[in-house]
Amino acid sequence: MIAHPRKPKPSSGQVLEPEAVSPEAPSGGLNPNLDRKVKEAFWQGTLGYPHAVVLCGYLVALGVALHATIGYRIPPMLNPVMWLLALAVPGSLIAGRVGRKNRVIHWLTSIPVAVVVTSAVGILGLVGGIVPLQTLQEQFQVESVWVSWPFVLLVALMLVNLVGSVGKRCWPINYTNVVYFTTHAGLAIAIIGGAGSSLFLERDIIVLFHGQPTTVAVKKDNTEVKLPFEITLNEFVLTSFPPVLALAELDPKVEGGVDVTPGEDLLKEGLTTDVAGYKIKVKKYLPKAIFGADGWQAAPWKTAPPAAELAVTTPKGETFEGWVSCGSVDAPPNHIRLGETSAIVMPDPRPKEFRSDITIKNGAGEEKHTIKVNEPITRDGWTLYQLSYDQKMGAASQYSTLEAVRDPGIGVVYFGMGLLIFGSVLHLWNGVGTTNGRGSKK
Amino acid sequence: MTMVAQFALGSWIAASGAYLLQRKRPWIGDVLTMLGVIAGVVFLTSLWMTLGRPPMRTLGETRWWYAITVPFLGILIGWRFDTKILAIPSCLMGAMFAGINLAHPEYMDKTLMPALQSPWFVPHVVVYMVAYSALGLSSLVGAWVFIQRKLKGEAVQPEDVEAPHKLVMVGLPLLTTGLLFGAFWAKEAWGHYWTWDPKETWAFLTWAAYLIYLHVKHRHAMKPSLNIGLLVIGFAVLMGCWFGVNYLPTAKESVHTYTQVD
Repeated sequence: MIAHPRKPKPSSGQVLEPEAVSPEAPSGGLNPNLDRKVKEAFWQGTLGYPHAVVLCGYLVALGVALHATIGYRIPPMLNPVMWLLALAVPGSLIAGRVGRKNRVIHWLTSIPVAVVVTSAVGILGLVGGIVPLQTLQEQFQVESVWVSWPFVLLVALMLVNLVGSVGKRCWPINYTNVVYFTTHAGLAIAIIGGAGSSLFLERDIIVLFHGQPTTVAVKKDNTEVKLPFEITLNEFVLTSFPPVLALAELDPKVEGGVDVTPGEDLLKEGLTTDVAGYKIKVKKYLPKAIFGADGWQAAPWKTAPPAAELAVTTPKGETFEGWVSCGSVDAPPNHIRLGETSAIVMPDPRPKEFRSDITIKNGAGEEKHTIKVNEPITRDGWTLYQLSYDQKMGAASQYSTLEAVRDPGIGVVYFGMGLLIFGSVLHLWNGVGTTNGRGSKK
Repeated sequence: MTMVAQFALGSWIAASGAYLLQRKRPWIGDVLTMLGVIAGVVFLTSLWMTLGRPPMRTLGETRWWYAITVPFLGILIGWRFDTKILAIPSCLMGAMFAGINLAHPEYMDKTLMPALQSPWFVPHVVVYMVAYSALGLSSLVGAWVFIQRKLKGEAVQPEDVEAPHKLVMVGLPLLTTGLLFGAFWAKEAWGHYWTWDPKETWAFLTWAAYLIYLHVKHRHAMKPSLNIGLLVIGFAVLMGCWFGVNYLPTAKESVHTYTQVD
C-alpha cells in the first residue's frame, strides 16, 4: 500500500520505560513484572516493522497450531476463509476510513504491515515454488502451501491491510488517490472474488465415448455431478504437424541407451535437409501411409502414420536409401540403418490441434459445437474445456476428456483484475508522464 | 540471418564504446544502438517467418526479445527523462543476451502446441518481455551506480535511485498487466485463471518482490542502498521465474515449461 509518507503519530499511551531496555536491567525471566512491562511497552510504543514481523509470526504459529490440531478439511459453509472475508472486508473498509487516526488501525493499514505481510506470503510462496507437492504431502502432511492455515491467515491480514488502506485513501478524489484506489481496490476485489469463489468452484471431468450420450461429470473425489444437459461426442479429431527426422545413435551413457538428435525441418516432398551432419533428400512423403505387399502406400485412414522415402548421405559420403515411419496402430515403425549403432528415424509428430465435435441437448433443444484447447463453450452455467484424450491411441482415441467448470465468482475476479489493469495503466502514465527533463509535465 | 544478429551484437558493443568516448552529445552511440535494434527486429521478423509461428516459445527466443527491447528502452527512457545513465548498461545487456544466443544456437522447433495457439500468446509475452527489460535494466543501473559510488568511496545518494525507479515505474505496471493477461489466457485454456502452478507461483513472487520495492522506496526514499538492494533481489527472483524454475524440483509439476527445449 503506498500510503502517505508521514510517520505515524507517537503513541499517547504508555511509553517504553527506560529501565526496561537498560542493559543494566536484564529481564531474562528473573522478574515477571518487568517482562510484562517490556511486552506492554513493545505494543504501546510507535508501531512499525518489528510489530508487523511479530504479528505475522503469531499468525504463522497460530496457523501451524491449527493445522496440527483441527487440520484444514472443514465443510465449506464453516470454512473460515468465508467468515474471515465476510467480517474482515467490510470491517476493514469502515475501520480504515473511520478509524484512520487510531494508531493501531493506522498501523494495520500502513506500509510496514504491507511490506512484512507481502514478504511473509512471499516466503511461503517460495516454499510452494521450490518444494514439490509430493514432498509436502508425504513428509509434512500438508496438502499444499495454498490450502494451509498459515497462508490463509497471512492472506487475511493482507486483505485487512489492503481493504483498510483503500478505506483510508478513498477520499478526497484526486489523481493520486484514484491511482491508489484502482490498484489496491482492484487487487483486493480479485483476491476476495478468488478466495470466495474457490469455496464454490467446481472443476469436474467428463469422459465422452463416441456416440454415447452422458449427463454426468465426475468430481475429484469420484462422486458424480448431474449436468443440466446431455452431451454426446460425435467425433474426436487429432491433427498433427508434419514430422521431423532424427538421428538415433546407441549410447549407453544416455538415459534409455539411445541418443536422439532431431532435425529442424518439417517434412515435405522434395525437401533437402541436414540432420546432425547427414544430408537427407525427401524423395516421397505420404502424410498417411500403410505398409503392404507393395511397400509403403498412401492410406485413407485417419490413424495411418506418416511415412517418407529418403536418400541419406553420411558425412563420409556413403548413401543409404529407404523408408522411415513413426508407426501407429495401423503400421509398425520403420527406420533406415546407417551402420551398427546409428539410424535415421521419424519421431512421433507433435499434435497441432485436438478437438471434440459434440452435440448438447437441453430443454431448449439440440446444438452442435466444437470444443478445442483455448476455445471452450459455455452452456447453462457450465464452461466446457477440451482437456485430453487417449494419448497412446492418438488420432484413434475412442474417447475425449472434457473439463466442466462452474465458477460463480469469476465476474468479481475479472472486475478486480480489470480495475488493477486500469490502475496499472494510470501508474504507467504516472511513471512516464512526470519528468524533470525533456517533455516535462510539471 | 545469423549475420544480421551478429551485426546487432556488434552495433551494441560499438555503441557502448561510442557512449564512453562521446559523453556530451552522444549521437553516434544513439545511432549505433538504433541500428542494432533495427537489425534485431529484422532478425526476429525473419525468425518468425522461418518458424511459421511467433518466436516466443523457447528460452532462446525470449532472450532475443529481451536483447532487443533492453537497448530500445535504454534509448526511449533515456530520451524521455533526459538521462544517459541507461545508455551503456542497456547496450551491454543487449549485447550479452545476443552473445549468449549466438554462442549457443538453439534447436529451432517449428511446432506450436495447442495451448500456445491463443490470441493471448503474443501480447502476454511481449508485455512481459518489455517489463522484464525495464526491471532488469533498473537493477543493472542501480547496481552500476552503487558500485561506482563504492569504488570512489562515496555514499550512495537518493538521486542515484531516480533512473532505476523510473524504470520500475514502467516495468511494474507492465509486469502486472502481463501477469493478468496470463491469468485471462489460463482461464480460456485450462479452465482456471490461477492454480499456483510453479511458474505462476514464481510470477507472483516476482511481482511481490517489486511491490515490496515500490512500497519501501515510497516510505524510505532516503535509504538508497536499501532500495538498490531490493532491486537486485527483485531481479534475482525475476531470473528465477524466467530461467530458474525450469531447473527446480517443482518444474515437472508445471504445465507452463514450454521454454524447455526437448
